[in-house]
Amino acid sequence: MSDLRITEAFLYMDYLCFRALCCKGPPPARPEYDLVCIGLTGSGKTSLLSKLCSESPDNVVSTTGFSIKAVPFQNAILNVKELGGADNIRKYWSRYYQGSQGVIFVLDSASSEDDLEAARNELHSALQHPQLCTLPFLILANHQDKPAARSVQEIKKYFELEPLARGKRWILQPCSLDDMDALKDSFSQLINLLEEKDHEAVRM
Amino acid sequence: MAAAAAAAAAVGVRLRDCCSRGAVLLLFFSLSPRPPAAAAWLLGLRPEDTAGGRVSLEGGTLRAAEGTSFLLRVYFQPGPPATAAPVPSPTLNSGENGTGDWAPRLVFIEEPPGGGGVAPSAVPTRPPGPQRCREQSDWASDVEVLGPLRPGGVAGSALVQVRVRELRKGEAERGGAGGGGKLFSLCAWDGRAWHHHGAAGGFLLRVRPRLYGPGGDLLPPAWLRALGALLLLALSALFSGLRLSLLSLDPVELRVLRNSGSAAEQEQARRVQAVRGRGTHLLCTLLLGQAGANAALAGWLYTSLPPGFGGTGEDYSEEGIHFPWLPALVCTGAVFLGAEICPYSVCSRHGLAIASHSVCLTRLLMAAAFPVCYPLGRLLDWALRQEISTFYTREKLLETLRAADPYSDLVKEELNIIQGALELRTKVVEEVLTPLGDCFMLRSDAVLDFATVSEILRSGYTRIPVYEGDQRHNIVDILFVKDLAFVDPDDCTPLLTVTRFYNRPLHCVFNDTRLDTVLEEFKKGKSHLAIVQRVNNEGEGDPFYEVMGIVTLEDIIEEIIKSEILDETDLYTDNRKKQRVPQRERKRHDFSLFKLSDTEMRVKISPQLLLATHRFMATEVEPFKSLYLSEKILLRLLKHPNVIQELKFDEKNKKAPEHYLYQRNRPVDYFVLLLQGKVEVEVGKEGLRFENGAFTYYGVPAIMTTACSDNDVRKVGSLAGSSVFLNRSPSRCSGLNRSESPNRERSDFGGSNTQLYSSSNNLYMPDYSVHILSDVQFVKITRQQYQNALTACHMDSSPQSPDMEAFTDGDSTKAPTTRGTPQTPKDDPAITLLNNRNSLPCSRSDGLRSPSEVVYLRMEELAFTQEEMTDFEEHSTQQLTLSPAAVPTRAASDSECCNINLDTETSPCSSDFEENVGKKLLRTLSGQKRKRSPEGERTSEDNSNLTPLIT
Repeated sequence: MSDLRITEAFLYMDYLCFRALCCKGPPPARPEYDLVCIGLTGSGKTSLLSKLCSESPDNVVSTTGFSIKAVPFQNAILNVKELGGADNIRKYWSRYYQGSQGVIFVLDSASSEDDLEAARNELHSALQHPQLCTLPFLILANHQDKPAARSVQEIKKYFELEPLARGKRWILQPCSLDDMDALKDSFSQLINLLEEKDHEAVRM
Repeated sequence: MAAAAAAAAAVGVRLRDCCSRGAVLLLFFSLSPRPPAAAAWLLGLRPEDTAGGRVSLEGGTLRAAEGTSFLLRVYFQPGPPATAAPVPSPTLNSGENGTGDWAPRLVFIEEPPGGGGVAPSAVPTRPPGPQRCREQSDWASDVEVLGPLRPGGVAGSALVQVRVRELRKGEAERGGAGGGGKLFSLCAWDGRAWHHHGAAGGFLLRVRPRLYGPGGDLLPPAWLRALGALLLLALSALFSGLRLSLLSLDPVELRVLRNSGSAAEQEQARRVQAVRGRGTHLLCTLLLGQAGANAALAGWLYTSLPPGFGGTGEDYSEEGIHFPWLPALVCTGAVFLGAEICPYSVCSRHGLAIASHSVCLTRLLMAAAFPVCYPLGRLLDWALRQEISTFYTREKLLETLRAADPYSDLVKEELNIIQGALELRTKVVEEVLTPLGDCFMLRSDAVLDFATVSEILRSGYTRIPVYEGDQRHNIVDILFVKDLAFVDPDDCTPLLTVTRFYNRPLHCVFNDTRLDTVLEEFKKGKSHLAIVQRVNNEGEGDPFYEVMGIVTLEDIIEEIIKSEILDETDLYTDNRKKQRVPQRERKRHDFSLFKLSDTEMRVKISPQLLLATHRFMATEVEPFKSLYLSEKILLRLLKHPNVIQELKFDEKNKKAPEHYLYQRNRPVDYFVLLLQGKVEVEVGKEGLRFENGAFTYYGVPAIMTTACSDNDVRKVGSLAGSSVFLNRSPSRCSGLNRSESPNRERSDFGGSNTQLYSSSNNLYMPDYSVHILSDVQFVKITRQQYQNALTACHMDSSPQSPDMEAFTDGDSTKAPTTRGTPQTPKDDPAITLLNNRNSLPCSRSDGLRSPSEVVYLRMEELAFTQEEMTDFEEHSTQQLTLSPAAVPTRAASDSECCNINLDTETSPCSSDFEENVGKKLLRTLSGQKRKRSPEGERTSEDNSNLTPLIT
């Protein structure tokens, strides 16, 4: 095992040398963004991220603290800090917001009314949180493959996103674990938003 | 050679045959390239001893140093072939050996310096050896053969003493290629003919120039050698000095000097800096030069000095190569003293000046040594990556400062601050934080009432973390004490309202953040209190953030200055060590004392009201003044569960017995101070009624009686009497402003003497009734409670205790007038008069124990007089009978008249009098005790004015 790793390391070193020699340096580093991922328990945050990292989404246990995953994309790397969504942890969420550049909010489209209400409250408080209110939001309506799932329009209406998130950068996307293309598409949109924000910051 | 043979033949007849044969041989040899030695009788030679290494046999050539004398062993053929030959030396005798016709002898002749002896080809260019052997002028005078051949002990050999003279000047220099010196060849005379022995067979003698020796003219003279040594030494010293002066100034120091030195130093530093810039090259140059100079000096000394202690050149008896002690020691001493110590002592002090003045020389040297030193310097630079110099790390700098402590003018605090500032980068937040358990925090659902706010004030903190729920680590907000500026504790505002409104941002840092980073963040205007959290990834499950504690700007500044900052409200010096602030000189304003807890009191009153009540009672109500009852005890008394009471007013049953606080002619033992609500007071037989509000009090005598004796009872009674008088003018009462209210209240102790007399001594019987008109809150202190409080005060052994004693058992002493009289000289007679008239058992001055009490009592006296007057009115006949016979009836009628005037309130006298009384009461009650004596005089005057009337 370790031998293999060493070999890999050597190969990588060789590759680096090769790059350095032939192409005058490594390729330009992809920008990295720190995101925070919130959502109620069971909305599928961990599973989605595992899927994006090409890990097995099986045997996912509910997160109780936080976990950080680096999700590689074509043009950026997203360091997603995913927080547990249980009731007793939710009040600590704000502690973890510091340093985030974007927010991913995952909701369960097929959940009960109560849960949806709770999710709405959480989303609203997140949208109004001083550390998050200026950041781009990606709202993922998960579990679209379930029969009881609400449509995006319904959710948008229910969550009062139009009036509430006016003037903010936000994306609402339906998704499910099986539909990786939609997921990746929404993430690339988010990355665009993040880049825009970066450029703006530079211009400022 | 043939000529030689012919000569030999001519000389000796007897040896003709032999000679002819020798001639043949000579001829043969002269034709052959080989040396003709074989033809000679001499076979070989070797030195008998080496004469201390100065004589040696090398490559067939005998070598000897000049000035040497040595024994040479010569080998020859023991016997010539010719029988007639008497040649062999054993048969020699000295008699035959005159100038030596035939005696064998040896002579050295000088060979040409061209090295002909070595190369036989050169021989023909010179006269042949045998010819030269014959000519005495050719015989070398430098190499002498002393004496004849001596038998060598062995057949065929003989010994001869050879002395080599010193070479003449110049000869050593042109000493030929064969190793220097002169070359000699040997001529041997066998008695008949000269034989010249050339190069082969070891017959050459090379005289080497002697390298050392006394007075050797080969070496330069002594002064020159000393000069050379000194020159080398100076060179070495120069290099050493340059090295010290240039390299002891490292670039950092040089920059410091250039920027902060004196003008001369700056100029010098600027000049040196140019050279010093190429440190390694310079170092190599100087070191090379110094090494070269030292080595040259050593070599020079070695050649100039004899190797040993006693070595004079003659005594060379020791064998082998010996260590040259003398040169080594001299060289060491010279280098040590001349080339190290001296430059060091000079350059350590004037290094910069020397370096700057020798910049040109240094440049020259560097240029000269460039080919060697530049590459070497570059190599060193490359290998070491850094110039060889002292450089300061943070720790070194600190240690330097610390070590220089006694020499520098840094104060300890300065050093501490420097140290703290330097260490700031090495410390992390975790080391300075205040653990969560020690923090003063508030629950988010707390209510900002008096208790909470006073708790906040008492804590002394300005930023208070607010946590939600039961877990203290869930900090959700920060409360600034400044935020409380507009918050009224009475409003009982929820904390959440305030924090929501101000919405202070939470500032979180991680436990491994360096202090300088945190300081930077604090400086940027973020909150000056940061919450320290760490990633807890121990145990099962996902990691999470755990709050460890808080860190403030003050903590960091304290780290920088390395001492504790205290402000006026700090409770602890060090939040980590939990050291209490040493005793404060200033009194702490601890308002929490006024905080009421529900368990303590059944009736809830605001702390402000309690404070006001406390203040009022302590200053205005006589028995509770701090003179008698310490404020602390009073507060404790007030906080007693049953003291503050509440009474609900029942609209339906207005005259219900429970509505009465006091009832006329019903003995009571309690004091009442109304705090809230309204009461109606009904006074006297006439049933005068008036309403009273808050801060009126009743029944002072009821609690005083317990402590006082008869006199005091009377006193109290008279006090009550005065109030009765005041009650007679209700219009005035109502006109009195708030500050006069105490006077008004006095009205309510109303009680007549007769009642007092008739009642028992211990019980107070009010002659008025008080009943409530609304819901009331009042302070009710029973006699027993007051008594207890007094006792408690005694036990506190407060400074008031003597007064208290005077107050409590004033009756014990019966020398009262003595103290009272001097203060009120005119007063007393009148009083006694009145007393007598009233047939009161004792004087009015009884119980006077303290000045303040004088006032108190004088007030009573006044009241007393008034009371007397009212009594006149009421029981004029009775009083007349009671009054002594000395009282004239006219006076009585006058007083009656006065009283009538009083009643009608039209008489100027009475009104004036009343005014006087009113003012006086006011003054005394408002604490103008200093005006006592004039007042007393006035009173007495009043009294005296009165007395004539009475008398």
